[in-house]
Amino acid sequence: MTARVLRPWLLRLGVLAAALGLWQGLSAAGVIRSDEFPSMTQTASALWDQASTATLWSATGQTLEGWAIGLAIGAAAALVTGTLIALNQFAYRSVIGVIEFFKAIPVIAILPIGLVLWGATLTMKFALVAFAVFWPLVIQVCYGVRSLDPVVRDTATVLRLRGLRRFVTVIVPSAAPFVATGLRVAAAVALVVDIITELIGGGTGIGERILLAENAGPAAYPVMYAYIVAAGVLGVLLAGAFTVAERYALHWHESQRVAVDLYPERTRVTAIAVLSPGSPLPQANRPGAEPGVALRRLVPRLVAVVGGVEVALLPAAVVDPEGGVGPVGDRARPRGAVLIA
Amino acid sequence: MRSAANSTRYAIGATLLALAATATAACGSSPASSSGTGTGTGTGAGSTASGSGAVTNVTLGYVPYSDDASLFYAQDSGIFRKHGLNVSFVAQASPVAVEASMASGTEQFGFITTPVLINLNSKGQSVKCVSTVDGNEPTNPADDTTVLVAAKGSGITSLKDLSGKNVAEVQLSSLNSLSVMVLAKQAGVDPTSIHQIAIPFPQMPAALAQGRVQAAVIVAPFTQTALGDGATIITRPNQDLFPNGTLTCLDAMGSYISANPTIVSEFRAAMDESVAYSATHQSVVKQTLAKGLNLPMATAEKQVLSTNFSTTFNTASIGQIENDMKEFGIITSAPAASSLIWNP
Repeated sequence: MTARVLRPWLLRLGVLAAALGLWQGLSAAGVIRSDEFPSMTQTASALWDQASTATLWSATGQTLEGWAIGLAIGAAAALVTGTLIALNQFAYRSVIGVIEFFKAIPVIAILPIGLVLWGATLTMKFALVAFAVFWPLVIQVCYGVRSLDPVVRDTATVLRLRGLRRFVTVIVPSAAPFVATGLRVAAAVALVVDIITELIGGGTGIGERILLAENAGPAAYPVMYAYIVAAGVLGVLLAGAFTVAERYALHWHESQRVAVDLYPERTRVTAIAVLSPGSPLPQANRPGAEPGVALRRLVPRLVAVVGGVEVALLPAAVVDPEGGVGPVGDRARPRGAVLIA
Repeated sequence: MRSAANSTRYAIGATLLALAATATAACGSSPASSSGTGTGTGTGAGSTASGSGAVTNVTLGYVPYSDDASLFYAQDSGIFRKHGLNVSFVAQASPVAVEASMASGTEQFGFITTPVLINLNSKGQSVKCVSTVDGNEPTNPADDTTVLVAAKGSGITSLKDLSGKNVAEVQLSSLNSLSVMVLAKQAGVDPTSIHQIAIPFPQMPAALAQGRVQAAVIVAPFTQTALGDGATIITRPNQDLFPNGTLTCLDAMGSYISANPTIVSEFRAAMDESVAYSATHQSVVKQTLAKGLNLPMATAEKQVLSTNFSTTFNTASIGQIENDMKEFGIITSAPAASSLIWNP
């Protein structure tokens, strides 16, 4: 178990070490000239110098400030707007072209307008970050909301789920994976845009430090690349944080479940069943267990629970081949449960 | 004097900026007329300095280069404060970004190059030079860090050989590209036969060494790298065309100047004092670059200050650049050169 967990990390560290070694080797062999591109050790040493003063940390803090505020504003606006657009067919068809148009505008093109409006300030930074994040995320939210599985949609309709309840129990879980992916990508975009506004526009942060070092000439190149490396590390950390958050928030979704721990084979949804209490379904897997309880334990994903009726997606492994919920392929009907698909 | 290559970027962007600024002003939010009421680090510039101990906060946008030594010195030595100014510095990538921030009202003073100054005014955006950055263009070749170099093996030995060649410039439609065209024409070469390619200074030595370009207008400290690869100096365009010229300055918006003449006057006095000190204490002033540009002290002390330390604006050189810009179609008309300069 420990070895299995450690192995991918060892592999990653190995690749990182090899890349750093190659960098140093190319510099030492003179393939990369030190007055054009500093060696790995020079850059690492410059990074260490910067990290031991307050400069690196205050620059990182300033960059994170613009990133966080911009991402929060852009994401909140995109979630609301995207949902409203997607829920209305007319709105969706009317505005999707406009959104695609704005999505294609590079932030660097509107940077001068941002500067004229707000100057080289924090406001300029987060406004442009929010702009850059908003358009792609709106589209992602639209797709998520509209990607509702027809079977789930019809089930919800049959169960007469409407309004807020339908939104919370059907639409949100369905859209959530799209939104989560969109947010993870948006977080990376936000960081890139934030650093660009600092580099080109003059906001304070890591981008400003890169600009200063670049303009100071070859003597300051190690410092410049130290800050570029710092920006990269920051990006990796933020992406990792979002991946972890996604795993916790969407633990119920099949993309996040670690199937091997629960079931002997990879989880594959093959059936949707409406279950009543006392349904004898999962006997094959848990002989003697009280059916409903066991099923709930085995099937983490309950799409909806309405008046004691549970709608569940059944993994292949819990399906009883002997007359329980059969694989969709052979259309065997479960006893005590209504197989929908 | 800031080396001309540095001095001359982003003329195209200036047009966009002028349009954006005009559009914003037209929307009624009128940031251009504000005198420092923005949310930036240096707000409250509207309160007039009285000179009797009152300190005015102003924000200055600058492009970080070694020619900022006098500017850094005015700050570090307390000259600005002595003149009643508490100046916040904002490092920006180009004069266009600086001017845009000034239009927003968050910056009151900023670095500008003469082509951008001319471009903005020709588009109806009033900005004026209020002081030099560190003086004007030097006349001593050793002090001029902007050079036109030819790559080793390019066969270029004089301006006449530029025809049909690739020439690297930091920005098209800048003073550098303008100088190359003017010099080529003077040497009897058709300027349109030269392929001008925009390449950032740090990448120029490699582009020359690999043969991607045969010549480049390059500045210190990158020149040394190129010369080390066997490149040769063909000429110094700024020396040839604009000796003692005003190629850069620190500027303010016309509206700000008329609303705050005392502050502008104190700013001018502070900068003139710092430049005058720099003329006789170069080694002291260069030390400010260690902090200002985050350089090792030994490297900072080796920088060349590309200036003649004269704080009197050279109106004739501005008029000359206006004419060149008109000749090559960068602008169609320009206001009188003297109107681009503020004098107390």
